[in-house]
Amino acid sequence: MNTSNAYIAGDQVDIPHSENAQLNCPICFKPFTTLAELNEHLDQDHGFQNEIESQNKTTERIETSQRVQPSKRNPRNANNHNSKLESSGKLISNRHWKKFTPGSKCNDCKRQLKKTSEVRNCRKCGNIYCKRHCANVIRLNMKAEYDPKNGTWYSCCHSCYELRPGYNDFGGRVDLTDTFSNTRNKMNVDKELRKLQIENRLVRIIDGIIKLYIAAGDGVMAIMTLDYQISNLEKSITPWKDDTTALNCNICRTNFTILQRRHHCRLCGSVVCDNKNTDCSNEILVRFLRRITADLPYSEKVPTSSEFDKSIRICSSCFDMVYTSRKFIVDVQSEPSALILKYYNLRSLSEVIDSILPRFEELLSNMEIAKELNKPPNATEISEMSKFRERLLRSFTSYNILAKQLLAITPANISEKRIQASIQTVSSNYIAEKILPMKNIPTILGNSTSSNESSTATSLADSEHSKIEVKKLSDLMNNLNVKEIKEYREELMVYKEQSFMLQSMIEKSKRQRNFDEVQILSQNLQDITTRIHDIQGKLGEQGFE
Amino acid sequence: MSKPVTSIKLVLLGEAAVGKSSIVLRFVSDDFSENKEPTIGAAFLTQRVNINDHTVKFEIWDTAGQERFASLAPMYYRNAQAALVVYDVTKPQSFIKARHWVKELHEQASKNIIIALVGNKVDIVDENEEERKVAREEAEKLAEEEGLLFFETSAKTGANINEVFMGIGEKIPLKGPEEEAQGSGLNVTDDQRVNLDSPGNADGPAGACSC
Repeated sequence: MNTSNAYIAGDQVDIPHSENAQLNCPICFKPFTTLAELNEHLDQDHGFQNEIESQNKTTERIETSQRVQPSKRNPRNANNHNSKLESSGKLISNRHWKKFTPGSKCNDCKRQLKKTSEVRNCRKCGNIYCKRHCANVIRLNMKAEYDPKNGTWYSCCHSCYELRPGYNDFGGRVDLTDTFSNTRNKMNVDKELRKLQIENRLVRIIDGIIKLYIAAGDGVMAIMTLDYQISNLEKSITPWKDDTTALNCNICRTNFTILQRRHHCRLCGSVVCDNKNTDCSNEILVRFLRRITADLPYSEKVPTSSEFDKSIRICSSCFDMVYTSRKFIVDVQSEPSALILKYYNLRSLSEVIDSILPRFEELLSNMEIAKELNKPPNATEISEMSKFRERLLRSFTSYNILAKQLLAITPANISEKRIQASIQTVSSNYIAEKILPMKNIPTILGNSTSSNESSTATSLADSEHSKIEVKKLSDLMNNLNVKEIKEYREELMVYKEQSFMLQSMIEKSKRQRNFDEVQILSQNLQDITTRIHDIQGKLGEQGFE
Repeated sequence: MSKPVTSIKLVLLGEAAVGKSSIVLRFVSDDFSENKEPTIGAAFLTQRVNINDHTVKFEIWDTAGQERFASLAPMYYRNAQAALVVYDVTKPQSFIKARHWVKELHEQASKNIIIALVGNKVDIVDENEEERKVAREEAEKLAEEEGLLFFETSAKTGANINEVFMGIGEKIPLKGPEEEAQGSGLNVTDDQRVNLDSPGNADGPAGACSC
């Protein structure tokens, strides 16, 4: 049918039969990939369908059209755009489609497909899928290639959907780092400029005040006019904001009342309150301001006389701008506090321990292996180990002492108190964690000493030596080994559980007015509590869980 | 009301899931629950029974059988007057554990403690004799050697449960009224309680309004 149709379309055009050759419409020269598409085009756009009667429409053609356009039934493809394109004859190539034979499986879920109506071919790869696994849509051109710009929406399988270039599981990603840093830089520059302005004003005001003060002298009249002059100076340097329109404080937003007066910040000119709780503004001594901003280019010297008590009102944000960054620099340069110094020592000590421990543990495991093979332990290894142990022990002891000293320091402020608490947690955890593996030593070495009696005198002496060390170590650990600690902890848990249960039982009995029962239970609770204290005492520092 | 009351501190011991809590539940509230949760720690229950002319008050500590609670048991059997060592007649392992408990009680508990050996879950054996894994003779022999009371019970049907406690109650030396009077505060007796029914207690005519 295809061929007959094409010949009728025009004898002057030689239709190539090779599959790969470009097909052009003989009338409008539109390119097509397949003959079927060209036929559709001719039939519908140029009206050939009426001339060639349906006599040519064989069963084969009906079958193809059914297979070419099943997507019409697919609701996701039923948009106007798509159906228009498909019906207008632009049909995607179906040469690559895998043929369906009853019993083929869905390429995704491996379900057996029995009926043709169940089958979908992925428009891109052509593989056979069930309806469910061919439900993605992708833009394809007529050659069934991915074309995100001019393609038409076709259904495809999940793997084609995922494998298309530019696909990203997490959606698109836009790098905004540059925009962010630009904005930030701009803001920082603005802030710097603002700071410069504020500092300039500060220098001019302070210099002006000092000049006026010196010029005024000691006369009664002079003192009276001085304040007026200073006020004028301040207003001339910083433009004051209109205080009749300002209904609330610029910083804390409290409404102004008769008692809550308006004040002007002499540096930025904004209207603020002087509430002592919010600290929105304060009168700050010129002497103090001059001292904290000694790096600014002042031309006048502060009068030495102690009667110089002029101050200027500054809002909290301007004060922060002037003062905080300077204080930070000073704090960083100044000597760290005793607490921090001690902490540095503690850190270096823990570094020492960390450097020794791995080698020590290696030696220990070597010894364990030797013990299992019933070989006498290596004499040099033993001596090395006892040396290490001695060092470790010393380090642990000094670590412990240092940690205790550190905790004895009274913190200077809240942050130091917090730091101290953190150090306490870390140091106690550190000791518990590092010392526990060392508890294996007694058993191993104890056995090695007894099995070693026949071996050389030196190694014997070494073992004896190490035994003494071990004793010292276990003194440090309340004479408990790992197993005992575990047992005690478990016991403690059981008792605590029971004490909790008893408490609830007592509550229940009390509610039921069953007082002799309460008495028995309380007695028992008391016993349990005593026992808990006993165990906690035995466990000592190892008691925490 | 005038009957003398004796308190007996009783502790239940035995392997996990032999039915200790079920025995107590049957004795205290004549009830049975098919799927009981394992006991945690030690539960406490009381029950009064009349034996002859006496009222006996059982203060029962029902300990957990699981191994992790083993450390709790000594606390409860140490000054107990009676102990129930329970095993499961269908589980030989539980009988071995019962032997251990009896031994431990003889070594650690007070000298004149009264121990009852109780083989539980006989209802299973009654249905199918093949399920029995601990011979009655074997248990009787142990009881005889160690001087224990011996019962085979079923908490499910209630068979023999009351007999166990009655047997213990009868063996405990009961206090006379004169001993009772000097009893410690721990043994609060009914004599010392306020009797709301007696007319002497009421200040005025009952139900009268004071205004």
